[in-house]
Order: sequence, then C-alpha cells, then structure tokens
Amino acid sequence: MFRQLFQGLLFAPTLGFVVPQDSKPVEDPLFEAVTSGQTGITFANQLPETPDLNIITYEYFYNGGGVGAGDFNNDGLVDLYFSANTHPGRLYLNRGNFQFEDITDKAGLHHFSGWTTGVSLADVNGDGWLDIYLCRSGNHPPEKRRNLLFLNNGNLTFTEKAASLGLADAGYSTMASFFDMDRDGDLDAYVLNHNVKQFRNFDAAYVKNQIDPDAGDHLYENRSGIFHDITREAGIRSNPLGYGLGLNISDINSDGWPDIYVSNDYVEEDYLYLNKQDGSFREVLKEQLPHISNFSMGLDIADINNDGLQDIFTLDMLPRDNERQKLLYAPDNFELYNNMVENGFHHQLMRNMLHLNNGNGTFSEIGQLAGIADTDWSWAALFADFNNDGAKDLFVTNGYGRDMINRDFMKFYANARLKHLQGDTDSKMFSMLQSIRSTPLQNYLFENQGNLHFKDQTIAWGLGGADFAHGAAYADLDNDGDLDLVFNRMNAQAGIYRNRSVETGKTGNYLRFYLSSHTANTQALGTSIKVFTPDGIRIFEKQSVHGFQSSMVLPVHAGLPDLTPDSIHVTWPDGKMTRLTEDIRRRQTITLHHQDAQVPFLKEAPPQATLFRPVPDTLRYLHREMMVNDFKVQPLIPNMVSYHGPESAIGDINGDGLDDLYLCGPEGQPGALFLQNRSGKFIPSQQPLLAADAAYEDAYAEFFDADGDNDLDLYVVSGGYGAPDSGLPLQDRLYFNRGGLFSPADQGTLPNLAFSGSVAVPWDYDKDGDLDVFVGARVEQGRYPYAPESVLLANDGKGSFTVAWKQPLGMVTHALLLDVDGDGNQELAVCGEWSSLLFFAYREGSLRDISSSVFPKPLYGWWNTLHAADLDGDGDTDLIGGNWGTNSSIRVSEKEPMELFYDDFDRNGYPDPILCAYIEGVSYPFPTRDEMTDQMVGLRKKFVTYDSYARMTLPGILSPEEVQASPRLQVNTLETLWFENQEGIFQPRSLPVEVNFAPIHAVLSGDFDNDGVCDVLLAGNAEQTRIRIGRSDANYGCLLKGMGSKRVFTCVPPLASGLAIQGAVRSLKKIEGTGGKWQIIAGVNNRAALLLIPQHQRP
Amino acid sequence: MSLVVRLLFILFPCYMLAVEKRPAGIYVHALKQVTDIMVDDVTSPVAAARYYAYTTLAAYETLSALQPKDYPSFGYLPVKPASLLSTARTGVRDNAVLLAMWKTAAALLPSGTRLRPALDSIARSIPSEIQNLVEHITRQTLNRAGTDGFRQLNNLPRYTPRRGEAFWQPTGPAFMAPVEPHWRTIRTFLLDSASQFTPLPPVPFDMTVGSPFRQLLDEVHTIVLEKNPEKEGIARFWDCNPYHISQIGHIEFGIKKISPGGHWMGIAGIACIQNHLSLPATAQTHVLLALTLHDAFIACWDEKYRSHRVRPETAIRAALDKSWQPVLQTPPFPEYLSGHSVASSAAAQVLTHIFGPSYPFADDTELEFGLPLRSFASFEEAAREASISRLYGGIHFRDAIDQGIWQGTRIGRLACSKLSSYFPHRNRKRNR
Repeated sequence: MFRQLFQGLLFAPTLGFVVPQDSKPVEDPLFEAVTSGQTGITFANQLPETPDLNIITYEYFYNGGGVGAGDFNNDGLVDLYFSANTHPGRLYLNRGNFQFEDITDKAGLHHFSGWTTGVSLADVNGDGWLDIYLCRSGNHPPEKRRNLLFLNNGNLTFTEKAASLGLADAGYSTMASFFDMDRDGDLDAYVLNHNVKQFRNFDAAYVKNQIDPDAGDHLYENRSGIFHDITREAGIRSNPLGYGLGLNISDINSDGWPDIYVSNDYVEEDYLYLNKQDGSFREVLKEQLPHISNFSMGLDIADINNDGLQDIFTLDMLPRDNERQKLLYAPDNFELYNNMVENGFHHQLMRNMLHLNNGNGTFSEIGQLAGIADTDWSWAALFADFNNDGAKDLFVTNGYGRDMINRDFMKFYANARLKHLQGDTDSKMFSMLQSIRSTPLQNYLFENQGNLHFKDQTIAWGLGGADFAHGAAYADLDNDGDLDLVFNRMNAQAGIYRNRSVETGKTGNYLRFYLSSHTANTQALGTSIKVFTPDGIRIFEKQSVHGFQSSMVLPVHAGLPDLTPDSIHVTWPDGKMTRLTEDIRRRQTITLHHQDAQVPFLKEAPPQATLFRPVPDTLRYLHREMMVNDFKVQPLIPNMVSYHGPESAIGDINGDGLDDLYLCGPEGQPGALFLQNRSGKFIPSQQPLLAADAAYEDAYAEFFDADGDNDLDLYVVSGGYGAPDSGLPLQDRLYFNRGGLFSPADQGTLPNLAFSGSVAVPWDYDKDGDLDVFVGARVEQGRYPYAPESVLLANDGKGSFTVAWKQPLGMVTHALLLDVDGDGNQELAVCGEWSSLLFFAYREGSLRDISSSVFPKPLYGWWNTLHAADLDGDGDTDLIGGNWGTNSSIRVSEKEPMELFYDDFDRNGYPDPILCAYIEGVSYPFPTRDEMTDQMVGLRKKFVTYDSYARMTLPGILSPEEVQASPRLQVNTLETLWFENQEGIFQPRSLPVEVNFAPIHAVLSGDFDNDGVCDVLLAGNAEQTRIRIGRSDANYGCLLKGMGSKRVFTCVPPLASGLAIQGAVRSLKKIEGTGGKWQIIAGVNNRAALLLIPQHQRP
Repeated sequence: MSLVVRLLFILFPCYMLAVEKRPAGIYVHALKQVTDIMVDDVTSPVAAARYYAYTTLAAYETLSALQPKDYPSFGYLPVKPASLLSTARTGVRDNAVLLAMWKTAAALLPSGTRLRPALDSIARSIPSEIQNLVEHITRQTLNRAGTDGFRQLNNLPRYTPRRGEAFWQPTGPAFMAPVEPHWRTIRTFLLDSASQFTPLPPVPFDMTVGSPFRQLLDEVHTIVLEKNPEKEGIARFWDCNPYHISQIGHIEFGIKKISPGGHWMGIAGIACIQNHLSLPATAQTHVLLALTLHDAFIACWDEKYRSHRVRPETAIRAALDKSWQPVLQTPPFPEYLSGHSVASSAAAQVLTHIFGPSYPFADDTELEFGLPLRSFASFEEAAREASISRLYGGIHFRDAIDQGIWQGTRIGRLACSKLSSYFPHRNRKRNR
C-alpha cells in the first residue's frame, strides 16, 4: 500500500524548469499566448530548492513573484517589470507590436540580492517619471530585507534611494501601495508585511496587542518628499500575526477618501481600514463583513455589478474538483472555529469571498452564487473588462509548488519517508520534501455575465494550460483598445497573452482616460471616474495595486456596453471634479488634466428617504439560544434543526382593537407576551404560567379561539432537536385566555403530541364552526431525517382535541391555509426540508392529498417557509416558498439533484445519513474520509488512505446494492421561488437573484411603498451551519417591489429600502395598531427582536 | 501427501520465522507486525489496548484449545464444540497460535489486510482441522469484539468541552476533538465496571497562590522551565504519542510512535525473550498483560471524562505564562488521570507477578523511533519513571499521576488475583 502511495506522491527530485502544459487548441479564443521568441521576454522566476532555502526553511518559498506594468519612458507604450525571488527581476521596454527589449542591466536594476517579492510602481517623487519600489523578505538579516526604491532618472536608468526617502522598510514585506492617503497632493505609502515565525499555541489577546516591527504593516506619510512612519498614530494594526499577502486601496465607502483592505493568511483576520479623513484610519472589518476567507491571499476591489459601489474579492485555496477537495479538507472542528471567533479572529472560511457592497456599511458575500468561490490555491485576482462589454471580468492565477497540503502526506507519507531517510533531521526533511509531487494548475478566466454570475471561460478564452502562476497584471500592450494579460510564473517563462478582441472584430466599447496631475501625484492615482450610459452607471478607479504582489500604472480603461455614454464625472484625488457631457464617442481616448478640474467634490445627493426605518429597541425581548451543536448528535446531517426561532404570534388578546404579540422562547427561556398600547408601544405582560414552561423549546405559536368563548387562546408547538435521551420536553401546549391571563389546559385536553413539531395551523377543516389544528412534525430526536407523523387535531367545540388524521409528511417546516381554487374553501399547503410542496383539501369527509393536481411538477427543496398572498393582483392567492438559496457550493438541478441516503448502513441501530451532491457531472458523497469513517467505523478498513477515498462515489464506498436499497431523499432546487396561481395550479417563477443570497426563513407581503401594488419582504440567513458549508449571512432584509400585473419583482437596493437587519431572521409579522398604522416585528435568532416601520407612516 | 512433504510444510514457515530462533521471539516478532500496523494506522492508546487484548486472546485461546490442561481457557468465549477439540505438535501448535493472532488482527485493524501474505503463508503449514479450530476461535473472538460496545460508539454524541477555566479545552497545534469520550461503555474483561476503581476527584481548580491546585500548577510550570536535560530525556522516552503533529507554515504532518500500551507490550516481549520462554508461555504472558491494559484504559478514560480536567498548558498560558509550552505535545484528551500512570502501574503489577520484583531489563522498544535505550532494575522502577515522566513532559499534574498509579496498581492487583490460576508459577529460568 505504501509503495503505491510513494509512487503516487513522487515527482522529479528537483523542482525543475516546468514547461507550462498547453491545452488543446481552441477555436477563436479571446486571448492567445505570445511566445518569448516574439516578445523577447524570457524572464522566469527561477526557484531552485536547496537545503538552506526551501519551503521548510522559509514558509513563503512558493509565493512567487510579481509584475509591474507602466510606462517608464513616457513614450505611450506600457513597459513591464518582473520581480523574481532568488535573483534580480527584469525590466522590459515595450518597443511596440509585442516586442520588448530587456534593459535591466542598462537600467541599473541588476545588482541587488535577497528575496524579492512584490513590485509597486508609482511616481514616488513626483517628477513625472515612473519609479519602481521592490519589496523584500526572506530569512535574511535586515540589511538584505530592506525594500528598494529605484527612482527613475528620466533616461531609463534608475537609482536606488529608499533609505534617503525613508522607505527602506526592513520588515518582511510582501507588497506596498502608493496612494494619497490625506489628499494633500503627494503619495503616501502602505507597506504590507508578513511574519516568518510560526504562531501555533499562543494567547490571542496578548499577541494581538503586541507590535512587531518586522511582521507588522507600516503606513508612511509623505511630507515634502520624505516618508515618515505614522503606523501607530494612524490606527494601523502591526501585530506579529499579520501574514499580509494582499493589499488594495480603494474608496470603499464612497466618501471620496481612499480606504485600505489588507488580506491576511493564516489565523489573523483581514483588515478593512476606512479613512477617517484626518490622517488616520478606523479598522471596521468585523463590523461590516460577516465572514471572510481564511488563508486570504491576493485580492481585488472593483464594482462588479455596476451599482456604483466598490465590491471586494479575496482569494483562498479551495479546489474546484471533488478529488482535490477530498485530499485537502480537514474535518469540521467546531471548537477550533468557535475559539477563533471568540478570540477576535472572526468567521473565516476556506474559499474565495466576493463581498458585494450594499453601500450602507454592510456587505453581502456571494462568491458561491457568483461561481468564483473555488479556484484552488489562488494568488492574484484581477477585475477588468477583457471583452469590452461593460462588465468587469475576472482573472485568477494559482498554483502551489508541492502538494504537501495533501492529507495522505500529513498522515502517512511524511512519517514513512522520514523513517527511511538517513541523516540529520534537516537533511531528512529536505530529501522528503524533494520527493513530494508537484502539480501545476490551470488558472481561471471568468466572464462577468451580469446578474452577479461569472462564467468560466478559461479554455474558451485561450487561458487553458497548467502552470504555477503568481503575480499578474493587465495592460494594453499594443494600444489596440483591449487589455492584454501578463503573469509571473515559477520556474517557467512569464505568460504574455494578447487580447484578440480587435483582431477578431469583437472590439466592444470602451473609453480610455489618460490622466495627469500638476501635484506630486502626477499620475492622479485615486481618481474615480463615473461613466453614465443609457443603461446605468459604471465606475472606475485609478489605483496602482491589484491582485498579488503586482501593480499597474496605466490609463484608465473603461469597458462599456455598446451604447454611447451620456456624461462622465471625473473625481480627482483632492475631490475636485471634471464633468464631460458633450461629444463623447465610443472607443475614444480622453486626456484630462487635474488642473482643469472645475468644481469641488459634491457628495452625491443621498437617495430619497428609505422605505423602512428601524425602531429603536422598545421591545425588550432578547432571544437567547442555548448554544447547542446538532452535529455533535448526528455528525453527518447537512443542516442543524436548532436555531429555528423565534417565531411569533399576533392577535388582539385583550379585545382593545390593537394587535398584541407573543414571541416564542427557546429552550430555557420562557416565551414572552406583549400588549400593544395606543401609542404603538409593546408592554410586557406578566404571565407566570407561561414562564413556568421555559424548559420547552417553542417552535411555533398561534392565537386562536380554541374553546369558543370569543377570546384568543394560545397554542404553542414544542420543538427542537437533541439526542434521543436528551430529556427535552416535546408535548405541545394549549393555554386558555382567562381574562388576559393564560393558563395551561388540563391534561388530556391535547392528545399525546410529544414530538418535535414545527408549525400549527388553526383550521376549521370540517366546517363545524370550531377551529381544529394541523400540527406539522419536524424531526425524530437523534434520527434525522426520520420525522414523526404530522397530525390534524379535531376540536370538540370546547377546546378539547383528538387526533383526527395523521400521516408521515417528512420533516415539515411550515404550513398555511390558502384558497387554491377560489371556491371559498381553504386548503392546506405544507413545505419541508427535503420535500416538495404538499397540498391537502378536505373533501367528502376526508383529507385528500391534492398535491399532484395543484403542483404537478414536484420541486424538492430545503424549504423553510411558505407565504400566501395575491402577488400579481389578479384576485387569486399565489405562494412564495423560502428555500436555501443558490449562494451555495452545492449546485442542484432536476438532472443533478442533491441526495440523502440514510439507511443504517453499519447496522448499529441508527441511520447513517450521507449527503451526496454533483460536482462536475458526478455525484460524490459530501463527507470527507474522516467524517465518513467516524460515522461508519468499518469503512476505515476499506479506505485507509485519503487517496483511496477521494475519487469514490457512494456506490463504490458502500456497494451499489446498499445504495439502491437505501431510503433516499432529494433536492432538485435550492431557489427561493414564487408560485403563480393559474386557475388552481401553481407555476414556479423566479425572483430577483438577491433573494437567493441566503436561506429565506420569513416572508411578509404588503404594500410597503404605498403605491397600491403588493411588495414582498424576505429575510432569513443561517448562522449555525456545518463549517464547510459556512454561515450564510448575505441577506439583510430583501425588499422586492411588486410590479403587479407585470408579474416581475425588482429588488430595492438597501440604500433605498433602509434595511440592514443583522442576524438570522426567523419570523416577520405585521402588527396593526391604531388608526390604520402598522409595524413589522422581526424575530431574530439569538438577538433582540426588531421593529420596522414604513417611512410613509409618520409617527 | 507424503510425510516428507508434510514435514516440509511444517518446517518451512518455521524456518522463515526462525530469523528469531527462540520461540518467545517468534511470538514477539509476530505481535510486532501487528504493532507496526497499528502505528501506521495511527491508533489511539485506548483502541490499541483493545486490539492487543483481542489479538492476544485469540492466540491464547487457540493455545488453550490445543493444550487445555496447561493453559486453561479464560471462558470469555463460548465453549468450543467437542468436534473442534484437537491436539497438535509443537510446531503446528505454535503456528496456530500466530495464525489466530494475525487473523484477528487482520479483521480488526483498518490496515489489517497487510497481514494477509504472512497469514496465508503460515496457514499453509497447518492441517485443515487445526485451521478450522483457529477459524472458529477467531470468529468467536471477533464476535465478542463486535458486541463489546465499540460498534455503538459513533451513535453517542460527540464531545462538547465544558465552559470554565477548570475544564479541558482542545490543545494545539491541531485542537483536535478529544479521543473516545464514551470509552467507558466498552465491555471489560476483569473489572466489574469502568468505575470499579474510581480515584479521588482531582484537586479542585483554584488559582489562589498557595492553594493545593496552584501548587500543582506551579510545579509543572517550573519543572518545564528548568530545562533539565535528564528529565526532558525521560519525558521523551515515555512520550508514546501515537501521532505528534509538526507544523511548518502551511505544511503539517504527523510523526508516529507506539502507544503507552504498546510500549509495555514491548517490555513484556523483552522479558519473555530474556527468560527464554516457550511460545505458549509467551502467549500467556502477553494475554494477561493485554487484558489488564485493556481494562486499565477503560477505567482511566472513565475518570478522564468524569472530571474533564484542564491540561497544564491551557491553565498555565491562561493565568501564568503566555508563552509556556510543554516539553511533549499534549495528547488530545482530558488530563485526569494520567493514562501512562494507570497503564504502567497495572502492567508492572502483572509483569512483576510473572517475572519477579527485581527483574532488570534493557528497554529497546523506542530505538526505532529515534529514542535511546534505557535500563531498569525492575518493572516497578520503569512504571514509576513512566508515571513521573508525564510531569516532566509538562502534560500532567502530579495528582493525576499519583491517583493514576493508585488506580493502575489496583487494577493490576485485581488481574493478578482474579486471574491467578492463569498465571504461570513464578519462574525466571528456562520454561517448557
């Protein structure tokens, strides 16, 4: 076995020169590689491994080099600089027509040593000539680590002057960025550093407060040409845990001042510094980004959805294919994860993150929905419009020198190899290292298709082939109007790719802006350009640093749709503006000078009053969860059942014409009753008999007149999840309203309902004048996905109930009544986890399943909630089904559903629920090898190594017969949908993509904007999930403006809706008050309840 | 088949195994192959003890079936049908014992199939009726193993650390989930229950200077800071950490060694060889030790997951010294009691009962893992050193060691008395 393992992991003993593997030729690709024979660019980042210098002695040995693209001789052609790690880089002068001349030696850039990392271009001394700042790191003494500033002498020679300008930063530097931090007309500098020491067992609070001059980042203020370290005063973090790998400057909050994003590898969280406009910054990441990438490497910031707001994209190391994922993933470790959060490291998940800027201090992370979350070990991310269609595309480089993150390496190979080697530890480690496989990877090129989706065009656009690529840049090297690509490769010649838009006649549309400034910031870095076209706006920032260890100082390339722009607003770094409103043509080059700027900066008029305003917390209800972990009971289930509350019940308890409110209580906390007073405030009502039942986990509650005495009684469904012997009380409770005091019904009033329930629907199904109750069953304790039978309870007219009907309906999550066919009778609609929508009608004396006639095509989803309303204004009742959403790594369809096989495969008395999902056309089990063998110990014999498991499908792991015979559930849609009632049959319809950012758990409809048309509010999120699935928190309250008979909804942007609801919303209910006023109560899991008031209701 | 050929079949594998010419060595070498697989598979100390118990039990019960007067059956397995009772010559008997060991190991261990070639080879030298006997005993042994609660372990909830400074928290570098929190549910051989020898509760957590706990804490803290080479050497010798995780940048890998139980099984082997014991006597020694270790770990784990006590490194870094690291890597389970103290003390009782109280030996079990040879004047001395080594290693408090010694000693004595009729007459010389 180990012999095969050795062979599998062996490769060339030395990490030799790799010829990038070409892909098969593609018809008419957008890009084509230009050979070194034509360009003259023979640069390769040579990385010879030696016993003294290798990945073990220096942990960033495989990080690669960078690219600098800029015009060093002001001849209008973009030149290229490549940095290398172990030898000096090379400078290539652009001679036109994709021919370059190596002028490194003549330029004086050939005679330095040390370990070079990032290259940052800028006109640092403001003399009109582009300079080169090189960062250095490595296990070297400070003198060999000091960063180098090569000032351009104006004649294609350079002189190193870092020390005399105060920029000879001796830290372990990755990158630097020059930008005008304080808008005083000169360029300041941010230097991004990393640590070379390990931090494994440490006290987080203690270490986070230390200052490490070599590992911590530095901010330098330019005062009359000399740079001064203002790190502390400016509020910049500089602790030893900063393994900074990515740096971008951008005006993220649209206030005209440049902000900073730093992405950190390993455990330290990323940093988002907002410019305080006084020479300092405020670090706000944890407030604004609910979760981030874990091993953050390169990043880019750009407006990817053309809403005028800068979005943030950070890279991590998640592979796309099943096999590499299975070889890489560690099992979920909840204690470690929670520990990181508690120690201030925030929620970090191992995948790329696309943070969509909502413009209000919140971001929605939608990398999975966008299709760009998994690009393997990624370095550079570059957003640019490569096909000139007005949407910014994405290029990602990736590759890691050797496959040591492989779990077989960790568990078997390393030890086995070391045991066999002779010599001291260091030489043994080096020998072992040299025999580990090295796998070049394909980079990624995505086309932005609009609607927040990116399509993988890597092969079709000519970027196929495998290599180890790191720093990258884009530039129009041949000045033909499209952007070419350049990237730095390890042990291979640099990649130069010509964009063939022009050659293939698909020139597209763009504007090219040449900007210059009379200030010391001669290149006008920090200028923001907004182009108005008939279809909307597009913004472009001139910043020098994008991606990884690379920079570009270029004219601004503004890719546009095929429309003539109406006007252009240019905001210069100091806030002055230039406005162009006439004579704008397509594909035009526009030259602008800062000194011609006309007007001072005008912050855009704030949007009109928002539709909602939150009410300060007048409702004193803080939902406090017992922090349970359902995955400790059944480690393989895909979702937790817990954290489903608080639901709420609305009703006029005391007959004063005002809606009152009951908020469900989690286990250990009583439910709370509030009475509304005439001023719209909610006063807690003392209910000792409700308080006595705090031990129950309230899953649902409804007010209805159970005993026929014309007041509203309270029915509470008990739910929750735990081990079979957990002792959680599960019997539902009925409380009779006795003059405003609720007292529990006597025993026997309800039959035995001691199962975990999810919903109760009062329903006079038999039309005998009293209200009966449908109770939906949620799950069997400790035996997900088995669920008890759901029941229909018949009321004897006096508030005593018996079971009239029961049937297993799966794991029901919600139900409601609606008149499906408009005959005046109500039918029951039921939804659930792993279910399709079910419909029941009471006809001819029995309850009938009418699902197939009302909902002909079953849609199996992870449905959380249903909502009924006339959404299209045609007089009948439509439905909305809240589902998990499509912001998920698991993609499902009818042909490629997600499945759950849950037989007791190992015959030890409990179901073994195995989730399977399709990846690249094949259905694979979701659990890792360790998770699977932890559940079914016998499998350890079959799959000793991770490699033996990595490619297996479930029939291969168990047997085809066992899988065939197993009970099975499926999901073929994760989309939240609305269902149009067409003469009693529901037709699924899509909703705006924003609805699918996160699981929807609560829906409310109403005319929120007072225009006579029904609108919809959807909320949800899931904060407690499997770590590998990750918390889904991109929804802050999604408001859809109804379009009535057009049957199309549009999403109201957060800045207009005024919604920024934090947390996992589990209920939305409308509460009526005096004089037609109403509010919305949002039950938020483990947080305070929220009240929302529509703006059009003045207080 | 002619007699000559039959003899060849019998002698050939014996010749193969006669790399170890002495019969004790043959058994020890065979068990070492099982140990090697356990090490490669990364087997926790408790799981290892269980594997040793069942593999040596199958071996011994085979011996007993062939020589019931000298080696009575333990009675853990159902009575064999009369049709399977048999006799065999020495060579066949010895091979049958090894076959039973390997067949059981092949079935239980994740990588057990690696024993197939050796197993098949030795099986060919055994007449079919003896093979049937071995097959029967192996199956019975596996039945008992299959119903000892192990298969139900993964139905039980996974561990959630308790909140509070007194309680165990996952430790670095990997912060793994703790090993086998429900091991107390495994069926014992000797103990009437996992809690038969419940120790005193741990010294209550109290950071007040001068309190009993604070003194324990300070002691660990100080001893490690001393950087005494001899103590550090002792700690490393008895590390017995099946999986030590090394991390360099993004690179992480595990270094493997035998478990505490494996170390003592190795010591038993050294004594058997040193005393030139026959293979049956070696099998007897090993099963007595293995059954004892099996129950010792159940009892120890019962207490670990009753007291959920914090490890020194967690408490020290929280309150005393933010950069303190133990000498050894803290194993992934709660602190009280010290597993090595329990196991070593129990083992010493059993081996002393067999080989005598002042039995000197040279312990070479750790040489293959890059550690030196250490010599001991007695099993007791070795056990005491193993126990205190955990304090030197910075991974235990002294009370966990002292009470661990108490519990282990009790369990060892119980084994000696309850199984007294299974022990050989005390004999340090040549044995039949």
